Amino acid sequence: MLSRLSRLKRLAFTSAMALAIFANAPNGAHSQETFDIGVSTILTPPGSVIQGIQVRQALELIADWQNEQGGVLGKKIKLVVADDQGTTEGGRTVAERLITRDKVSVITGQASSNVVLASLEVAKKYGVPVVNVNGWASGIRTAGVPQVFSPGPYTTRVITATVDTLIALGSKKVFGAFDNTDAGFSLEKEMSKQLKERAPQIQYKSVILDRAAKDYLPVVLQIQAEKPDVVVSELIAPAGYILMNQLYDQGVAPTKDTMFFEMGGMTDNPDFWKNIRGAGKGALAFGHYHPKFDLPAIGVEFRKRFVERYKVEPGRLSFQAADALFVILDAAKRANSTESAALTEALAKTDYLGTRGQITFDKTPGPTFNQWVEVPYAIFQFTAVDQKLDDTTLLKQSNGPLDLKGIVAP
Amino acid sequence: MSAILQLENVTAGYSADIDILRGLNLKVERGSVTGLIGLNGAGKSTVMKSVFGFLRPRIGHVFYNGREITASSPHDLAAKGLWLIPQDGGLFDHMSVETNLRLPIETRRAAAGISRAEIDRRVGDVMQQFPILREKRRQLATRLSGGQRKLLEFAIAHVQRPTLCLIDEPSIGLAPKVAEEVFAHISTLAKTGTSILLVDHNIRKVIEVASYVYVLTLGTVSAEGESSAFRTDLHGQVKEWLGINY
Amino acid sequence: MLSSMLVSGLITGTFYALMALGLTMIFGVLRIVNFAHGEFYMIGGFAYVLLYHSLGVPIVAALPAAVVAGAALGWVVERLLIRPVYAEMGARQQGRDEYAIIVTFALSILLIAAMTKIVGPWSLQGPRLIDGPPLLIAGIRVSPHQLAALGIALFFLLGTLYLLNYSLWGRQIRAVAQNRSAAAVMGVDVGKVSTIVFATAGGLAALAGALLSNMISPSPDVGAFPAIKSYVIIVLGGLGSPLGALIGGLLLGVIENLGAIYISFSYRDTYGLVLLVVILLVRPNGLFGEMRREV
Repeated sequence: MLSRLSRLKRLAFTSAMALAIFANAPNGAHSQETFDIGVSTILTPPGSVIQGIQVRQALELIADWQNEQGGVLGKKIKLVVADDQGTTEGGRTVAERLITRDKVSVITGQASSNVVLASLEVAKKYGVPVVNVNGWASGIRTAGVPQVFSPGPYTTRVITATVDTLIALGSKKVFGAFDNTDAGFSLEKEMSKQLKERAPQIQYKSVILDRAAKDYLPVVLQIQAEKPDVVVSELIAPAGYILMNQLYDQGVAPTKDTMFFEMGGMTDNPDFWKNIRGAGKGALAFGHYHPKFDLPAIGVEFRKRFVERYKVEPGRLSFQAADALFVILDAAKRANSTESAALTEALAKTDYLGTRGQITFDKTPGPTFNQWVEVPYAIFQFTAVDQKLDDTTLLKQSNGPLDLKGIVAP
Repeated sequence: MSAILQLENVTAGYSADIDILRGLNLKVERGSVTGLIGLNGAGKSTVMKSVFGFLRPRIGHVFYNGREITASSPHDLAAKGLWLIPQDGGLFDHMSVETNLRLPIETRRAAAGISRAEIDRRVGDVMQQFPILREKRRQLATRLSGGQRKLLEFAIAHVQRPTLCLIDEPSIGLAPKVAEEVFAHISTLAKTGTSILLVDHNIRKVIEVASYVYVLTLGTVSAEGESSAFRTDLHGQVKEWLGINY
Repeated sequence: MLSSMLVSGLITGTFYALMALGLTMIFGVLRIVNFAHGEFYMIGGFAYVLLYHSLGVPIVAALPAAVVAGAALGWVVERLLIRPVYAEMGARQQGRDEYAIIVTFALSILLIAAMTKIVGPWSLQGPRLIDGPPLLIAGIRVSPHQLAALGIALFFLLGTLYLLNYSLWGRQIRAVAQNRSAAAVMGVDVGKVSTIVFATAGGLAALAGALLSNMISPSPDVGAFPAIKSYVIIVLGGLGSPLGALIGGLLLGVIENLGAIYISFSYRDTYGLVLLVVILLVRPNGLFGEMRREV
């Protein structure tokens, strides 16, 4: 009996400690004095916590900033943060809980495609708008759910940019690596399609990789045997780091014969250079933010405040999250309401100057439905190890054309 | 106090509400063989477990050599010179006979201050004493027969030169001829000066080997006496004490 | 390509085996599966990387310190959380397995969460043991660092196996694994042996984490992957069998690589499971399994 009791105690202690560390301040009851905004993002694995943190930092900064200035419609903004772990089940249950228990009237923060896809049905069922931060997969738009808005990156745009670059590089043979996520599958499909239509001269092979794997040597050797002139990778951290390092260690890419093009958007992660050494030098990258972007005033102010508060440059995910929340606040002001239906209606009519440009949502059914079509992006090249984004060679400005003049062979 | 082992008012059991031993008092005199007999379920093996640290008595005390050892752990008791030959499963099946023989004494070596040469000597002696074990010393213990296993357990006990040896049901499951041999080894062990507490279902043999006998009934001592007293009218007395038709 | 994959598979397999050896020792001695084993790996990786990067501790000191950190964690965990699994050996052991599963699982979550709070979710690449130009072995480039890491891993792996078989320390561990109550009767301090085994397992896993930190940057969740591999390996090799952990680890490393090039890379992690099913059909106790599972 004694040992049973003590077992229970130890069990309770361990579990309680785990919960205590995990739990984020429990939120109180819904209040009329606040504008409750649900935040579903990745706070713990298996999803990319790095992405979740960048999203959360931006959202909290903006909420505090706007509250200093009196909030919205006389109400304080209150973020109700929940952990979706970047999983489909997490996405569904978090959305359901935020709506039914926490009574939020709008949800944002989602950093991965599968989570956004999982929340589509919930958004439709309860009529609660979702302004996602980083859902790339085409299925999010083609589902045509009127409550779901996407001011972030999307598959067709990323692939269009990538294929533009490949064509401009005069590439003959390309090898693509994608991860086994909704975003990865969607990108791979679009890549094959666009290359076939727009650049039939390019020989193309691709592979879908498990992002949980820790060793990509067999694939690296396969790529080596293929001798492509560009390796394109969409893998996000930490899998992307391992692939990049192994490609470099085996002398596959970047080399003078083979360029490396990173399109997953991980090069502005704060830990990028803590994991990538020589493999980063000469790498081409696609990003949804670059310090040399011509930012509107609100973007400049956001960046300033972010650096002040977190002592680190905001990455593209922070900008994406900032725009998602600003769009919600703008809709509330125009609707003069924080109720879901009114917000949805106002969101659809968005025409707002965000941190990186003028945001509107397309009404055409298909892969750009409720999408900010002209979401800006940059193409740039790292020319040294430990190089700050500021010092990279910008090959495409947010609103400018692609110009590969500045490119150097690795 | 001349008793090597003394149990005082020991109450013990495996679950909170059921006592197997109930206020048990028992003594093993130095240099003697003390027998413990009783029906199945009387608590004979529980006595062994309570003494050897596998079961913490709820009430009562156990003294060894005049010092309290209640609820000491088995390895501490082994270091103090107690030994237990359990009813079954006292060997490491996937180790050789020789490793089985050496491991316990090597484990105790530092604590007991025994030299390596002394270990070799004792193991050599035992191999002489148990020729079958010498023959099979490189074989895994799992390949020994039931009787050979029991002999190995006795051989291990011999190597220890224990002050007190608890022997739990040594003849169970053995052919009568092998059981005879086992009882002979108990006598040999006793002659080297080791005090013995012996439990066995073979009442006749226990009485023959032991000098003093306790009868255990439902967790308490229902009768005790010099074994000579039992020899004269074994059937009648045992029948009476145990309450059955023996 | 074949020889490249064999070499690379054996290298990977060595590190798998280092993890699995500790896990199988714990299972052997305590009959429990440690679901926090990956977190020992993670702690070792972080200890090595943080000592080097944040405190400037030289590599020669950071590596042993990482092993000590893992061993210390193993020691503490065994004393604080695992004791009830075998305390009061005579008493009934109801709910013992359930307790062990839940407590190690909760511990795993606790350590991941604690590390996320302390160092953040970031990955941090570990320093190389030695720098230098890579060597070409069987068509793949192997850095001097990888060779050194492999050498150290092999040394500890074979050293542990040697000690298990030829030292009193090892024989006592095997004695407890084979027959816990007999070991106690024979004077072995089973509690101490259990603690030592947990500490050893923690140290070995931490060593793997530190040695691999240059190839696989530690992050709080990095332990999940080696832990899952270890679970496959110990069943493959036979639960509780140290030799099985070694052979199983190497086999898994090779099979995964061969499957990756001859079948498809996308299913790389499933080849081990297929192998496991095949082996369990032929040998239900695993390659070197000899002990029956207690019911």
